[in-house]
Amino acid sequence: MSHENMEYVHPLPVRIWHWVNAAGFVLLIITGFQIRFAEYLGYMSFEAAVTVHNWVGFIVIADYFLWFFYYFITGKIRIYYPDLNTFIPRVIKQAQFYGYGIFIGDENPHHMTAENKFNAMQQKAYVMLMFILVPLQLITGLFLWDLTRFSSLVDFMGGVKIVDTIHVFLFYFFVTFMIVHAYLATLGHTATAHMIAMFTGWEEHH
Amino acid sequence: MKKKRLLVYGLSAMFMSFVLPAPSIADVSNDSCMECHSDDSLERDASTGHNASLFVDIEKFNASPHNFDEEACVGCHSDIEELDWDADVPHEVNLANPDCAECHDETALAFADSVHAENDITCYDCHVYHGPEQVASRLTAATLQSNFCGHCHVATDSHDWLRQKELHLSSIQCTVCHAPEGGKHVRFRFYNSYADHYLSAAEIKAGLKIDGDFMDVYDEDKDGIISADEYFTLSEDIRERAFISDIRAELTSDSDPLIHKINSDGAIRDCEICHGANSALFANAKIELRGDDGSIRLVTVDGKAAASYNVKNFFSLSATRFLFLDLTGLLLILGGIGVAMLHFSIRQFTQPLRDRRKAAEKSH
Repeated sequence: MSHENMEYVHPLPVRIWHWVNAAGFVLLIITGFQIRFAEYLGYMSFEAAVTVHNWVGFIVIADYFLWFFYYFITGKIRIYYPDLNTFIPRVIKQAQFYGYGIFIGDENPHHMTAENKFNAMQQKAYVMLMFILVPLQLITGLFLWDLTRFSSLVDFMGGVKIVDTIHVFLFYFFVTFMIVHAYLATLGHTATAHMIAMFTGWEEHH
Repeated sequence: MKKKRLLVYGLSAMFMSFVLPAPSIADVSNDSCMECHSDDSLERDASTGHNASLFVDIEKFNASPHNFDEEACVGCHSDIEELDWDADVPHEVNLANPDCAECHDETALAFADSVHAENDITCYDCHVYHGPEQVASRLTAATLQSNFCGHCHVATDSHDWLRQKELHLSSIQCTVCHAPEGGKHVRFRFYNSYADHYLSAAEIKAGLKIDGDFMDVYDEDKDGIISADEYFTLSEDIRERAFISDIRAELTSDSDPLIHKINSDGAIRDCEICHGANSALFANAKIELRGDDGSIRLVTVDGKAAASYNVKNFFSLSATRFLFLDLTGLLLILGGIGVAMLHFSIRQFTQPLRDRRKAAEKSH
C-alpha cells in the first residue's frame, strides 16, 4: 500500500478500543432493549439478556480503561482538549460545513492529522462523551449490576429509580449517537473511507 | 418446685371458688387461663411427658390474628370444657393438639399438597403456638425469612441462579415465588430510616398532620383506591409537611390459603413473570396501616404508583418503568434517524451541484 497522501491517525490500541466498544455498544443496545421491553420483545430470554448485558458491560468498562490509560500515558489525550481561543469560531465553521458547505462541494474546514484528529464539533462531542457521559453510563450500569453492593452510593444518587433513569436516558442517547455516528462516518471522500481508516489506522487525505 | 407452684395456684383457685361462682365452659375466658399461664416459669414437668414451657405471652396473643378474630384459648383447646379450680391442674393435663384445620380448612387443603406436609412439618413448626403471625400481612420479606422460613432454610445458601439474589431475597417474600398460586401485591410501608423503624398508622397520621381517617383524606374520589394522582398528593404531603419517612415497598403474598402450597419444583423461575410491564404482580399495591394493637389494615393503591419516583427503594426492571422517559428516548432516536435521513437526502438531491462544481474546477 502506498502511503503517499496517507496519514497514520488511528494507532492500534485506539482501533482495538473503538471496535471493542462499538461491538459492545451494539450488544448492550440489543440486550438493553430486551431487558427494558421484555413484554414486547422475545428474541432472547430476560435472564440471558441480563447475563449478556452484564458480561458485555464489564468488557466495555475494561475497554474504557484501555482508552483512558493509552491516551493519558502517551499524552495523546490533548487531542480531546479544545483550543479555547479558536474553539467557538471553528465549531461555527464546522457546523456551517455540515449544514451547507457539504451540499455544494466545499472543502471540509478540518484536515485530520494524528495530532489534530477531531474537528471542533467532534472535540466538543467527544469531550462530553468520554469524560462525562460514558463514565456516567458505566458507573450507573455498575450500580444496577449489584444494587446491594453499591447501596450507599445508589442512595447518595437519590435511589435506584434515579440511577436507572440516568442509565436508560443515556442508553437512548447512545442509541441515537450510534446512528448519527455511523452516518457521519460515511461523510469521508468515499462512503467507506473513514470506516476503512478505522480498521487500518491510515486515513487518506483527499 | 413446679408441683408446689401448682399447689399454690390450686389453693388460690380454691379460695376464689368461695367468692366467685364456679365457671362453666362459657366462662372459660382467656383471663381464667392467664391466671396460671401468665407465669413465665410455668412448665410441664417430666412426669407428664416432656419439659415444655406452659407460659403464654398474652401480649403476643393479643397482637395475633386469633385475637383479632375474637378467638379464645378454648377455641383451639376445645377439650377444656370446664375448669376445676379444686384440682391441682384445673383441666386435663394432657390436652389434645389443637386441630388448626377445623377453622383453616382451605389452608389445610393447600398445605396437604406441599413439600412441608410430605415431610411431616406441622403448623407449629412455622407458626408460633400462642402468637401466630399472619405471615403475608404482617411481616417484611426479611423478617419472614428470619422468623419463619429461616428456621430451616438459609435462603442465601441457594438461589445462586438468581441475579442480585440478596436484593431479591430482601425485597420479595419467599412465598411470592415458592407458592406461585397465591395472590401477590406490592406492599408500601412508611419507614423512618434514621430510626430504622416502620411507622404505625398513628405515627403516619401524626407525620402527615391529618385528622380523621387516612382514606377520607387521600381517597379524594371515594372509589376505595388510592389512584396514581392521589398517591402523588400523598407524596407531596410527605415532602411539604417535612414528614421524615420513606415509602419502602416489597413484593408480598396476599393473605391467601394458597401460600401454604409450597412445592420445591413449583417455584417461579421465569424472570419475565415479574420483569415485564404487563406483570400482574405489579397491578395493585397496598399501603400498610398498622394499628397500635398490631392489627393491620391494607389500603389499595393503583399499581402504577410503584413506578413513582416517590418510592425510592423499589424498582423492577421493565415492570415499573416511567412512560415519559421512554417517550423522550423514542423522540431522541427518531430525531437522530430523521436528521441522518434528511442530511442524506439533501446530499443526494444536491449531488448535481457538486458534480457541476467539480467539473468546473477541473476545466480550470
